[in-house]
Order: sequence, then structure tokens, then C-alpha cells
Amino acid sequence: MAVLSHLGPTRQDVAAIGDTIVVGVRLLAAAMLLPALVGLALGEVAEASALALGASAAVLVTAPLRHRLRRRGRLTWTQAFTASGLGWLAAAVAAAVPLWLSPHYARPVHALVEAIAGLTTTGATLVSDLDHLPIALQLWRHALHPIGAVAILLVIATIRLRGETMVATSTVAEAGEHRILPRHGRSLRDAVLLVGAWSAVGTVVLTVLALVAGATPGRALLHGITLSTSAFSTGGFTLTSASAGALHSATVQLVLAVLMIAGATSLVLHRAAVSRRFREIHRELDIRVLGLTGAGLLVVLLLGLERAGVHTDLGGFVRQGLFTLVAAHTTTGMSAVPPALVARSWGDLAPAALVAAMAVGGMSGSIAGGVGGLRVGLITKGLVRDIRQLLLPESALVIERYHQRRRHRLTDQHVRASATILLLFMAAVFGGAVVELATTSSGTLTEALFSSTSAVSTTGLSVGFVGPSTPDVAVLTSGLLMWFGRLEFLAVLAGLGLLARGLPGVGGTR
Amino acid sequence: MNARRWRTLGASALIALGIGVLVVWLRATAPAPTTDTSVADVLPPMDALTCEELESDREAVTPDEDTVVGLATSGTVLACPFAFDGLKVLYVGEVVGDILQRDGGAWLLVNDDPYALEQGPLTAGDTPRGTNSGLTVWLPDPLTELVDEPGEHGVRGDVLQVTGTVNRTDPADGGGLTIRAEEATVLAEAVELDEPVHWNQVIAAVVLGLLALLTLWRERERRDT
Repeated sequence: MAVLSHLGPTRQDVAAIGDTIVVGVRLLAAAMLLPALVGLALGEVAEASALALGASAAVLVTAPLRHRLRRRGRLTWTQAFTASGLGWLAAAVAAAVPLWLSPHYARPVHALVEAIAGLTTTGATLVSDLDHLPIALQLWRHALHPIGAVAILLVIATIRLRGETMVATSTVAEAGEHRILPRHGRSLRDAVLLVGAWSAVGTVVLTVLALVAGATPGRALLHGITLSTSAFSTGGFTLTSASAGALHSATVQLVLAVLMIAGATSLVLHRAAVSRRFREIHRELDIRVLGLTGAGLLVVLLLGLERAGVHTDLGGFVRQGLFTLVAAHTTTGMSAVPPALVARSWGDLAPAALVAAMAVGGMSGSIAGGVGGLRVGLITKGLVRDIRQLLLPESALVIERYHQRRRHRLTDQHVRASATILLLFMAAVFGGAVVELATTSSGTLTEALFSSTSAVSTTGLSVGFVGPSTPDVAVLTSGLLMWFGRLEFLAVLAGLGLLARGLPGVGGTR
Repeated sequence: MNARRWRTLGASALIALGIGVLVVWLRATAPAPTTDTSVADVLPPMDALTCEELESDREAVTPDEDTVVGLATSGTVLACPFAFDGLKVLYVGEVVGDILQRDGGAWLLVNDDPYALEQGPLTAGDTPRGTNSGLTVWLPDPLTELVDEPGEHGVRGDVLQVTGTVNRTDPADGGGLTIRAEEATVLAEAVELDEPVHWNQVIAAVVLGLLALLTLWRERERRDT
């Protein structure tokens, strides 16, 4: 019985997970009211009423759960992981209600996957006729990015062991029944402050730049808000179908690149910068790996663009090539190039560099997705250590160290855990590509791999493979890949594991 | 889970189902605008150039640099930008988003998708027909005075016909693909859509809103006691 007591979701598990999800969905419902008010002020009655209806629906559906499910005490790790995994889906369903009431979403699955893309900060869009989309809905879909960013920062800050970036799947298993650190309040405040401050500064700067670029004051403000929140949250939704190229301004692209890089920088490094511990920054393994992969992939990308004959001048290489690489590496997915152009005239090498950049992603412990610089660094260091061990005499002891907040000795567990995430990432990419290829009538393997890598890494960069005209199964697969990727598989596996253990024949119940 | 928990989940699921049915009904009964936004009768009566035509025998299609080779669409230009590079073409579309006035002209986004040229901006009752498609157009002064209102929500923007040269990598736009217009005509002025209020949706939002407020108030009462 002692063993069985660790299996299956208990009453406490259900109450704690349910209560956490209900609170999250209700906060999301409250956030709908701001774009609803803006819509009302602008005379967009249909959109304002759709948002109000969505918010009310979220409160009413969660009311019986709120009444019965009450969390007592702090969450355990397994509960927190399961709540974040299921909570993201529940929030996406709630967020999709006002979208589905709009004719701009052809089918319910489009509204749902758009909401998932927003909350997972992926930014791949399934909206039809974006250029005529009402402002209230524009604001709502863009609001999903900072909400998702705050949520992921909260997950990072509260669930990870004593502030260190968790690289191990086994950590969850080991810590499953332990309570997480009681720092919700501080973590939430830090996350809101970080996202809010960057987004606010970005909004002011980009609004001014949009005015200088020639936009009217109203449109400039709208560009400022949407571009800023989207860039720092490493999202990718934009106001127009021209994405980051809408304002035809090099300065706007430069500011966007800065915001994207800031968004892909870890919370730990932000704290180090705020407390002026600059020496710490360049020692971080994450930073070193991303510097190296960024530089290496830039060379490959430029070589690819040169070979395909796409660009011949520096301006083109920088504003089209480098910008797209930054958007891919930070998993933001904004683009100054139409997707059709990347697919049809960039050749094979340049898109391959973008796929690699999306897969590596940003810093571990940041808003960005992907495998993460830290894990790539740990796997590489593990490989180097093993090769050195092979070359040296048997009695020699090779010790590798890495810096992440402080010096660590590289252990087999670190390497194995990082490799596990990499393997899960690759399995999701290939599995997703196969499903998307099998369910769509056109498209190549390269396009399918680009699309699924973009989804799993929560980048959203597109070659037009998945869109409003794609079959529902492929669209839903893309949405599931974003969900898996955003939670780095762990939350999903923890949640599924907890639920599965409650099934007859799989585990026991208390 | 005990029976009480199942009942709780069942109650939530039932409310969700009810709201789902309501949403489907509201979507189905949304009133369509009455404004006619079609521009089909003013479009130039010619077939658009295809990539195959240009790629198989570009010399035959382009006798000299100053000849307008035909009607280009954004779909074909983006599909074979190398074939269109440097060609003088006719391009028709709706101005959307911003008119970015700069020295000597303005940058425009000109869409030629179904929402621009066939069915008009997507509204209730329309069938969504995918993403937008368009090209960046540089309109020199004084042609910029022709454009008054770009398309946005509730507005089908000015529909322009431009004659200009396709630049696969325009240095003035950071290497972006553009059309540098030399001539332009407004085929159709901007139109504001007359969107009727969806009263069923407004009433549903008010009723559900009141129910939600009542629920929150009751929850607060229960918590206080």
C-alpha cells in the first residue's frame, strides 16, 4: 500500500490542479475585458460583445469547479506541472471563444489553434483576412502573447529547483511529491514587471518610430503596442500581413531585434543585469552557445542566400537575412520576408539554417522556446568529455565544468537529461512532420519539417505550409506541437502520467 | 473521484456545452452587411501572367524594357520572383493598412486577394478564403494624392491599378520585393461597410455577463461566511 499511495491522482491532486486551472482561466477572462472596452469605444460592438461573452462564459463554466475544488497548502511539483500542462489548454479554449465568434476564423479548430499559438508565444496565425481584422480582436490576440510569457516565466521561476534551470526530466520524478518553493507572489511580480517594463518601453519607442515612418497617430500606437508585446514575448503575431516589414523601416527592425533578444534572455540574466553583475553574463554557458550557434548559422544563412542569388547587397542580407535569423533563433517568428518567398526562392541551405536556429532556440529559463542553449551546450560538453576520456589513458579522470549562475561540474545526469529533451524534441518534429505530410495534399518533406520545427520550438515562422486552407488534422497537430514544445514536454508527460496512473490496470488510487 | 466530484465536472461540462451551442447559433445568425464591395466590373479584362509563360520564353514576353508585359498577381510574382525581376507590369489591388509617406512618395501594401477584389472584406456570412496576399508598392509623388483611404476593419480601401517595375530586391526597401509605380489610377474609391448590430449576440453577452457577476458575488458571499 505504501507504493500505491504514490500512484494515481488523489482528491488533493484533483482539488489542487483544478483550483489552479480555474484561477488561471479566470485571470484570462478578466484580461478579455480591456480589449472589450476598447472595442466598445471604437464602435466594434460585435467584437466587444464577443469578448464580454467569452469572459462571462469562462466564469460560468468554472463556477461549479470553483465551488468544489479548493487547494490546501502549496502545490507539489507534479500538481504544478499537471496544472500548467492542462491549464494552458483550458486557457486556450477560453481564449478561443471570442475568436470563434468572428467570421475571420473559418472553423473552431482555427480559433483554438490561434489561441494556443498566442498563449504558447508561437505566433503562427490561422486568421483569414488579417488586414481587415477589428482592432478589439487584434488587441486580444496580441494580449495572449504577454499573458503566455508571464505564465511561462512564472512556471520557470517557481517550479525550477532553487532558481537553477532544470535540465533533468528525472528532477520531476525525484521532486514529484515535494512542495514547490513558496515564492509565487515574488515570481509573479517579477514576471509581470519584466514583461510589462520591456513591453512598455518598446511600445513608446516603436510608436514614435512608426510615426516617423509615416503612420497616422492611431495606427502608430497600434503598431507600437502590437509589435512591442509580440517581439518581447517572442510571439510573432503582427498587425498586418506584411509582418515586421509593414513599416518599411530599418530602425523599427533594429528595435524589434533588440526586443526579441531581450525576450530570449533568461530571467536569471535579467536579474544579473539589474543588479549590475555584468561579469556573470559572459560566463554563462547559454550565452556562449547562442553566440556560437548564432554566428555559425549566420554564415550558413548568408552562404545559402548568396548561392540562391537572393541578395547581392549588404542591406538585403541584414534586413532580410539577419533579421529573419534573429527572429528564428529567438523563436519569435516575425518576418520581413513573405513566407512564399522563403519557400520558393531561398533555396535549401538558408531555410536549413533557419530550422537549426529555431531548434536551438533561446536561453533556457527565458520566454523563448526550442531545445535551449544550455542543453545544447551540455550535450556538446558531454560529447567532448567522452572523446577526451577515450583519447587519454584509462586512469585519467576528465572533468568538465560549466557556468550557469555559478560553476557546476558536468555530470552524466545533466547530459542524459539534456539529451532526453533533445530526443523528445526531434521525435515531436519528425512525428509532426509525418502527420502534416500525410494529411495535406501538397507540400514537401522540407516544408513539413520546417513547419513542425517552427511549431515545436514555438517560433511560428512560416513557409505557408500550415494555414487557414490546411486540413483540420494538420492544424490541430500543429497546435499540439506548440503545446508540447512550450511546456518542454515535461508538464505534458507529468500530467499524462498522473492521469494514466489513475486508470484501472495502470496504477492504483488512494 | 467520488460521485460529488463527477457531478461537479458534469455541471461544468453541461454549462460548457450550453455555451458552445449558443456560440454556434450566434455565429450562424450573425447579420451580413448590405454594402456592395465588389470591384469585378472595373478590373482590367485580361489574363494574368503565369510563371510558366515567363520561365519558358521570357524574351518573347518582354520585347523591350518599356513594354508593359501584362497583368501580374502577387501569387505569381512571389512564386517566381526571378522571372518577374525588372519587368514592367500592370498590378491591381486594394490599398490596406498604412500610407507611409516619405520623401518623394509613399510605401503602400496593395493586396490582390479575394477580400480585395472579389468578395470584399471578410464579414459575417462570408466564406473565409485564406490569408491575405499582396505586394509592396512604391507610389511616387504626386500619385500619392490619389490614395485617400486604406482598407481596415469596416473599410474596403481604394482599389488602385498601377503600372510599374518589379524589383526582386529593392535596395530602398532593405532588399524587399517591391513594385516601383510609374502610373496609377483609382479603379474604385474606398467604401465603408454598413455592418448591422448583431443584437442576439449583444443580448447574450449582457445576460451571461449578469449571470457571471451574480456568480462572482455569490462566491464572494460564500467565502466571507
